Amino acid sequence: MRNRFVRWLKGVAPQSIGAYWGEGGVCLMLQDAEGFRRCVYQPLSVDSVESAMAVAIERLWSYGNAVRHDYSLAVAMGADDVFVRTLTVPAGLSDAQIEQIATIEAVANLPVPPEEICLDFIRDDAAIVPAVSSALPSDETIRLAFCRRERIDEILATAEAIPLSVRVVDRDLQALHDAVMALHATEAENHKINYPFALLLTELNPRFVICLDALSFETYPIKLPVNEPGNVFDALGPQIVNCLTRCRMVRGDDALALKHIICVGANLSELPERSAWLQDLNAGRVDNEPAISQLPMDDLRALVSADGLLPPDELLLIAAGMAGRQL
Amino acid sequence: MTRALRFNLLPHRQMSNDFCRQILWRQSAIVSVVAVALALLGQGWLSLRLADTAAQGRALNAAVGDLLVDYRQAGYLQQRYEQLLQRQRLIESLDGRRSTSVLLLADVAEALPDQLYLTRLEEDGARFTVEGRAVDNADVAKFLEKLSASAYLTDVVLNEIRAQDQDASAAFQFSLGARVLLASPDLGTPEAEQEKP
Repeated sequence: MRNRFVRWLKGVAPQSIGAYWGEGGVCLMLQDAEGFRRCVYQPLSVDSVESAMAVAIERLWSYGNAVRHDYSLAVAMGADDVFVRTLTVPAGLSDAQIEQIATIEAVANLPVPPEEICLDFIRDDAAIVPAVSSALPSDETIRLAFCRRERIDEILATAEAIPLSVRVVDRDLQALHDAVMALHATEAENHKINYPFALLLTELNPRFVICLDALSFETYPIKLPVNEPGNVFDALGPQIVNCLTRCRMVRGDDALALKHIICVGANLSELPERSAWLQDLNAGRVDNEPAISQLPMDDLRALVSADGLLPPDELLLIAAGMAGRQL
Repeated sequence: MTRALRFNLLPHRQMSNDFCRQILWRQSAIVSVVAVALALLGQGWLSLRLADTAAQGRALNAAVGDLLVDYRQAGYLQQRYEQLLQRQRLIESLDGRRSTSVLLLADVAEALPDQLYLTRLEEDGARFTVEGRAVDNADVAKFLEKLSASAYLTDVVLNEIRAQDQDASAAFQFSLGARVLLASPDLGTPEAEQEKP
C-alpha cells in the first residue's frame, strides 16, 4: 500500500504490456516493475479482435497478481502501415518547427490532410541516426515516421474496449529488432550482433528484414518452399540474394554486406552448415560470409501461460520487444 | 530501449507533458494538504499550550488571591511587630538610661580620689562630661584610669587640664569626656545590650 502511494506520488509511469494483434492472433506480454514477465496468446478463430483481446487480457490478469491500472499498452502495428523518412533540416530548430516540417513531408507522401496523419520524429543522435553524407555540418538529421491516423484510431478503439490506455505505438519490426537485440545483449562480444544484419521471418508473413541500423529496416516478402526436397535454406537462398541486391539498389550502397542472418521461426529447425549462396552473399565486399543463427527462444516460450497455445516466435518477439517500451 | 531512440506514433510529447503536469498537481496537492494539516496541528498544539498556560495563570492568580489576605495580614502584623519592637527599644532605652545614670554615678563615686572634687557633671545618655579640681596631676590620672574601667563608659578622654591658682589647695582644673554605654535593663551590662539584634 505504501509502495503504491509512493509510486503514485512520484509519478512512476505505468508498466507496459507489450501487445500485438493481427491475423496471427493476440499476444500480450507483461513485464512488471521487478522485471518478471509473463505472456498470453490468444489465436484468432471466429472471434473478433476485440473479443480475443478481452479473453487474452483476462487470462493475463488471472496469470499473475497484476493490477489493471498499473499497466498500459505498448502496441505494435504493422510496419507496412508506417512510413519512415530521413530529413536534413537546419540545426537549432525547435520541436514545433521540426514538427511542421515533418507534417509537410508526411503530407507530401500521404494523400490525406495533415490532421489525418500521426507522426513522430527523432532528432539526430550519432549513436542511432547516422548523419547523411550530403548534410552540412550546420544541418541536423531528423528521422521521421508517420502513418494514417485511422490506423492509430483503430488501435485506440480496440484498446478502449478492454479497457486499457495505450501509451506507445510503434512498428512491429522495431519490436522484433529490439527483442532480438535484447536476447543477444548478454552474448559474448564475438557473438554480438552488428549492423547490418537480417531477420529471416518464416512463420506468419515470410519476410526477409534487413536491419541497417536501430531504426532503419528494409522488408522484402519471400515465399517458403512447399513440398520441395532438401534444405529450406537452399531453397530460400536465391530469394535472399535477390532481397539483398534490391536493398543495395534502393539504398544506393553497393558495398552493403550482411554480417549476420538470424532465423525466427520454429519451422527452421535445421541451419545450413555450408551453402553456396551464403558464401556468395557478400562476395567481393567483405572476406567472411554472414553468420547464420537461430534465436534462443526457450526462455521466452517459458513465459507463455500453460493454459494456452504457444504463439509463433515472431509474435512472441514482437510482444517482448514492446513490453520494454515506456512513454 | 529508451524512449528517445524509438518512434512513438502517439502524441507522446503532449502525453509526457500532461503526465508531468498531473504529477506536479498531484504533488502540489499533497504538499498543500500536508502543509495545511501541519499548520492546523501546530495551531491546535499552540492553542492547547495557550489554554494550559492560561489555566495555569488563573490557578496562580487564585492562589495569589488566597495568599494575598494572609500576606496583607502578615504585613500588618510585621508592621505591628516592628512598631512594638521600636517601642520596646524606646522603653528599654529610657529604662537603661535611667539605670545607667545611677550606675554611672556609683562608678564615678568609686573612682573619685580623695584629693579631687567635681565641680560639674553632665550626662545626657550619650555623652558624659565631668569637670572638677584636683590637687595634682596624679589624682586626675588616677580618676581617669578608674573611669576608664567603668562598664558604662567608653572612649574616656581628658579634654582639658590646667593649673589655675598655684596658691589654692586644688590648683588643677580638669575636664573629662566619655561616651556612655547604656546598661541593659535585664542583665545590667552594656555588652548584653550590644548583643541584641
